[in-house]
Amino acid sequence: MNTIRVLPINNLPLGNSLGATSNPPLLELPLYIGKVSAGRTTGFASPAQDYEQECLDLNKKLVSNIPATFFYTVGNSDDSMIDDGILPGALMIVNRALTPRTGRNVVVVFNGEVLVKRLFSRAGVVELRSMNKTMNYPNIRLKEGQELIIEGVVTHAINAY
Amino acid sequence: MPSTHTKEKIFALADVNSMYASCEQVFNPKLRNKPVVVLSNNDGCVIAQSKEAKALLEIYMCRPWFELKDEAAKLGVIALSSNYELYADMSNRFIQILNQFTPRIEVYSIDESFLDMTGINKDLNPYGQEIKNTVKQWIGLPICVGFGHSKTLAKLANHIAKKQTHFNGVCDLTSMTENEIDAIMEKLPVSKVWGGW
Repeated sequence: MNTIRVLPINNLPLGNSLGATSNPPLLELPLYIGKVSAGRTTGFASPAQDYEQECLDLNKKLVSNIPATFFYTVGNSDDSMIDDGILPGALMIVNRALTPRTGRNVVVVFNGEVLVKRLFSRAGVVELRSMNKTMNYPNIRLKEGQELIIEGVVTHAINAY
Repeated sequence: MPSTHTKEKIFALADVNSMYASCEQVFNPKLRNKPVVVLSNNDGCVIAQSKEAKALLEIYMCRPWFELKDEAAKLGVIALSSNYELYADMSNRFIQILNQFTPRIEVYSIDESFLDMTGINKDLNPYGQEIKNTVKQWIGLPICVGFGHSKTLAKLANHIAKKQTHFNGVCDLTSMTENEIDAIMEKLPVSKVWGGW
């Protein structure tokens, strides 16, 4: 199986909130930054000052272009990109505004199927490559007249362990 | 947006082509280049047709689905229940993208917004193409852009951009002479001014 099943956001089990919406719900987790005090002499520092919070929001951290970013999930048995850390079931963050350069992982529509593959484009040759040395899935080389639609560039993959 | 000095004002209307059907086609590549209709709540009426469906079924808009579904099935039309969460999300993205092209934007409906282009020192036709191409690239939706010295004229320009393919999706009435505008308007029924499809 060298295809990757990709679900549109409206079909994701968690519903529409998975789309990088214009007003993403903030799920802020406190990010603790350890400060080390090294022998100050001017009285007692506030014990709270070490706990000043910066909040970690995954939307802010991982989505740089909100309107152009879409989330895709990888099928649960699809292992063609595991060498690049895109594991079965991964949630991929895909930016449609980025230019798909050679060497980037891209979500494409090819032969009516939605796939995630490594893009290679050199001297007029365009290939979609899988990243799984063990299974050694064949590269897909585009033939004259075949249509490849690049939907966007994968910027992150979030895996559950 | 105040509308004194109407003559000097320039508005753009950016409008998504077949919004609901186009949204469905973005998220399901199998629907692309196919005749798709989207139905209202409880699958009552046709409320959107992809351009492929328009070619087959010009007059289906707003007609009850039960009257049409047998014929549509014979023509291979794919009918979908509406998914407003999806359309709202795409609409928000559309508006955010438009906001990068002018500081003054008036959201008119889920799939169309007026942009006040007054004082924006840009060649309007290429700027309209840039807006159109950015929206297509970032969210996959096809749009048309019309420019005019009033909102009514911008809307009319948008209609012209949609219907007359040689405009390539962007029509700028502000750069035309009175004669050119008259020649175009002569061919349009008055019902196409504001509120037509």
